[in-house]
Amino acid sequence: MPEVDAIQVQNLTKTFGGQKAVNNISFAIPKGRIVGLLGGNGAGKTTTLSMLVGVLLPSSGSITITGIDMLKDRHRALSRMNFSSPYVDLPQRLTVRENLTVFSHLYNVPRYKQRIDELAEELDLKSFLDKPYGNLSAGQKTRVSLAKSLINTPDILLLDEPTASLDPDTADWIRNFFVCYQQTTKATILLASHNMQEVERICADIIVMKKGEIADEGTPDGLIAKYGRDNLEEVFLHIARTEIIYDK
Amino acid sequence: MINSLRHIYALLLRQVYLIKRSPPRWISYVFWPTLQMIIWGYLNKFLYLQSGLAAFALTSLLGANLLVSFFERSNVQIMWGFLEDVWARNIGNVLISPIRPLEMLAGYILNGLIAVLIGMATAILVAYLLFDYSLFQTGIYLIPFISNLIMSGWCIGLLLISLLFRYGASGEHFGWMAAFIITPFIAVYYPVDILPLWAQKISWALPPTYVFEGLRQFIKTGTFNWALFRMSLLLNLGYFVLSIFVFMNQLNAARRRGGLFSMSE
Repeated sequence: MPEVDAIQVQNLTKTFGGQKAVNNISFAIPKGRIVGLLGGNGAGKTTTLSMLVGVLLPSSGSITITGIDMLKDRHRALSRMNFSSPYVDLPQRLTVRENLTVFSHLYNVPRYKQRIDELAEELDLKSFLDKPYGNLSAGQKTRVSLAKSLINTPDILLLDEPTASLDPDTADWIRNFFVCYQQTTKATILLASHNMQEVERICADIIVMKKGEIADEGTPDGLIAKYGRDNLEEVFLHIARTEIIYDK
Repeated sequence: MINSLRHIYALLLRQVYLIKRSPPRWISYVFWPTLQMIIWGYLNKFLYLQSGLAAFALTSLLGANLLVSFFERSNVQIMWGFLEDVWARNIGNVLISPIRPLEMLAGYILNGLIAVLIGMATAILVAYLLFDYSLFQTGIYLIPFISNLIMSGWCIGLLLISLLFRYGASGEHFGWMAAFIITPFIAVYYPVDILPLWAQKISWALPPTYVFEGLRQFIKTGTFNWALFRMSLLLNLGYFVLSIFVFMNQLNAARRRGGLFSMSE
C-alpha cells in the first residue's frame, strides 16, 4: 500500500469578496521532505498556510494532513502539526518556560518538563528560560517561537517567513536547525519564504505561487535548469515578471 | 477527556501566570467592585442617618450593589481573558493548537470566574469591614443568587467574544458598555413595577431581574422564592445555549472571512 502523503491539497480555492486569493491549487508533499513555498507579496502563500492550519476555511477544495481530512477532523490533525508565523506572538509577560508550559498542555505533551529542557538545550534557551518573553531580543524571540512550534515534536511543521528580520548569523543558525530537526525526526517541513538562498539551500522541492495559482514546481536545481538561470532568485524574478502561468 | 481538561488547564494556567507577573491586573480585578461598594456604602450610611429610610431598603441596596457586581464583572472578565490573547497576538497560536472551541470557551469562563471571585471577595470584605454588612446573612441562598448572576454574565461574555470575532479587537468597546446597557432593565436598585410597561417586558426577559426581585423579597420576608429562582435558571440555560451557538457561529464566520491570525482593530 502506498504511503500517505504528509500534505495533500486538491483544487483548493479561497475567495474574498469575489477576489480569488488562492485559485484551484493542488499539490502533494510526501512525508519527510522540506518544501519551499515561494511567491511575491499577495501570491497566496499565507492564505494557503492559513487554510492548512485550519484558521481559514477554503471556499472549495480539500486538504488532508497525513490522511486526516482537515475540514472534518481538524483537531486530530492539528495535534500532529505546528506552525510558526510572524503574524503571531507569545504573551510578553510570561517567562519563556511559562509560555512553553502553557503550549505543552495545549498540545498534550507527555513529560513536558523534560521536553522543555530538551528544547532549551537544542535551541540554546537555557540562559533566558526564566526571563519574561517580552524582555528578549528579536533573535531570542525567534528561537522561543521555534521552540513553541516544536513543543509537540510535530510530524508536519509549517513555517511562514521563519528568518525574516533576523541577522544573517541567527538566520543561518535557524536554517541549520531546521535541517537537523528534519533529519532527526523525519518530519515534513513546508516553508514559505522570500529568501531565495534559504529556500535553495534547505528545500528539496519548491512550489512557486503567483496571483493565487501555482506557477511552477520542482527541485531547486530542476527549476534553475528549466529556466536556464544561475540561481533561484533569477528564476523567481523571471516567473514574477512574466504574465503567463508556466506549464508544469 | 484528559486531553480536554489539559487544554482548559492550559488557558487557566496562562491566566494564573499573567496575574502572578502583573500586579496591575490584580488591581483591575479588585478596583471596580470595591470602588462601587465604598460609594454605595457611604451613600447608604448617609441616607440612613439623614432620611430615616427603612433598614430593609438600605440592606437591599447594599446587597443588590454587591450582587450586581457579580454579573457585571463576570461578563467583562470573560471578554478580558480572550482579549489578553488578542492583545498579545497569541490568539493565532491558540487557534492552531488542538484546543476545541468548547474547551476554549470553558477556559475563558474559568478565567473569568477566577477574576470575579478575586474581585468580589475583596468587595465583600470591604463591605463587612467598613459598613458591618455581611452578604452572607442571606445564608445558603446566596449560592443560587450568585450562580444565576454569574451565569448571566457568562452569556453576555460569550456574546461579547462573538462580537470580537465579528468586529476584531475594536469590538471590545461594546464589551465595556454591555453590562451598563442592561443594568437599568434588571431592576437592581428598584422593583420592576417602577419601570414603564414597555421596559418591564424587557426586564422579565432578563434572568438577573428574577434574582434582584428575589433578593428584595428575601430581605423583606425572610423567604426564598423558588419560583423566581427557577425562572431565572431556565432563562439562563436558554440564553447560555443560545450564546454558545452564536459563539460557534461567529467563530466559523471569522474562519471563513479570515483575519483570525492577525485579529486587530
